[in-house]
Amino acid sequence: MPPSGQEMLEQSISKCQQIADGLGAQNSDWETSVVEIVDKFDEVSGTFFFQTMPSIPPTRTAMRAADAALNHKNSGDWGSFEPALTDLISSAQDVIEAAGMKGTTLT
Amino acid sequence: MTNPASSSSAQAVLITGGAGSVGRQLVEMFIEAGRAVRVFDLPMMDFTGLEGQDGIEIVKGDITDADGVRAAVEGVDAVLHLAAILPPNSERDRDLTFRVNVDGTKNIITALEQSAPDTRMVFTSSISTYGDTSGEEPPVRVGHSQSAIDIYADSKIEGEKLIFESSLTNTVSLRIAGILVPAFLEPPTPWPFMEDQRVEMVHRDDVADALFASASAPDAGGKIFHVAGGPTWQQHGRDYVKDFFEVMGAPVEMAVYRDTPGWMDWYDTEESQRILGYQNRSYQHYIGEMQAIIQEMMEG
Repeated sequence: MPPSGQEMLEQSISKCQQIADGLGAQNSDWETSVVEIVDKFDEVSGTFFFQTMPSIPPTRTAMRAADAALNHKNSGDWGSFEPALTDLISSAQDVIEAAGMKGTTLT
Repeated sequence: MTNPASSSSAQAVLITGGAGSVGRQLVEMFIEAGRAVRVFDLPMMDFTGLEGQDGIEIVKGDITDADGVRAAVEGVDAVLHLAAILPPNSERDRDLTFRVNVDGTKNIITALEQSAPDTRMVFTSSISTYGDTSGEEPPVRVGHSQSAIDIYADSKIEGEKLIFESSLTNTVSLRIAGILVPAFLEPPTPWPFMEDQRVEMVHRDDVADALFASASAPDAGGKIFHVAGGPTWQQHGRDYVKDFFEVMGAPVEMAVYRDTPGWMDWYDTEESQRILGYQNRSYQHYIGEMQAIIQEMMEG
C-alpha cells in the first residue's frame, strides 16, 4: 500500500529537521526558512486533509524536495543546495495552502 | 453602488444575502431569465462580479436596519430572504442570531405590509425546526410539530411564526434540508446525525432551483414546502459517510457521529417537487461530481 499523505508529511518533517540541524553555521537565513517549514508542517499534521487522496501529490513533491535538499547538504554541495531549498520552500507552501481546507461539505 | 436595471424595476427581485454562495447562483439564474435583481447584503461582503453588471442593483445595508430594508423592498415584485446567521456561527450568540434571523425577517415583513403586502416573499427556513424525529415513522410531513434543538432552528421557527401572523398574502416558506456542496471540503466533526439515523440531504444547486421557482410559481403562494433531495438521497448516516470517505480516499474509521439523534430524517417532498420541480440532481450525480473533483485534483 502506498504511503498516505500523513506518512509522507511526517517523513518530510523528519528530513527538514535533519536539514535544519547545524545549517545555521552555513547560512542562518536558510536555517530559519527550514525551521519555519517544520513549524508549519507540525501545525497541519494530523488534519483531515492528510488522510485524503488529494493530499498525496503535493506532499510527495515536498517530500522529494526535502530529500534532494538533504542530499545536497550531506554532500556539502552548497551550490546545488540553494536552488533545492527554493524548491522545498515553494513545495512546502503548496502543501500548507492545500491543507487549509475551508468550510464543510454539509451546511 | 448601483447600476440601474436594464428592465423595469417593477420586475426586480430582491435577494437578501445575495452576495453569498447560493445568493450569487440565484442572481445569475434570474439575470439569465431576463429578470432584474436587487442584491441586498452587508457592506463588508465581497460584491466582485456583481457590481456594475447589467440588470443587477447593489444595495449595501444591514437586515437589522428597518429603514434600509424599507428602501430595499421598494418597487420589487418578489423578495427572496436568504440573509441569516447559519450554523455553526448561529450557536455562538443567541441574541445576535435572533436579531438577524428574527428581527431582520420582521423588518422585511413590516416593510412589505406597509408598501405591497401581495408581493411574493420567499422565506428560507429549515427542516431542523422539527428537532429529533428519529423515533417516528418516516417521512416527516409539513404538518409535523416543530421543536428546536438548537438556536438556529429556534430562530427559524420564530421567523415562520412572524410570517404566519403577518398580513402578507403571498408568502412561501421553504424548510430546507442539510445542503451538500460539491467541493473538496472538510467533513463536520461530529456529523450532525447518528450512524444508523435516517438522513436526506439536498444538492446545493437543487436548493437554488427551488428558490428560483418559488419566486414565481403560481401555486406556491401561502405554502410551506420541504426542500430535500428526494428518494435517491434517502439513506442512513453511515451510508453517506462511507461514500464520502471513499471518494476522499480517507479511512472511514475517522468519522465521528453524534451520540444522540440529530435533526435529520426523510421528508415528504411530493408537493414541493410537483410545484417547484427542483429535484434535478440525484445522489449518484452528486457522488459523480465529487469523484470528478478528486480526480482533477489528483491529476492537477
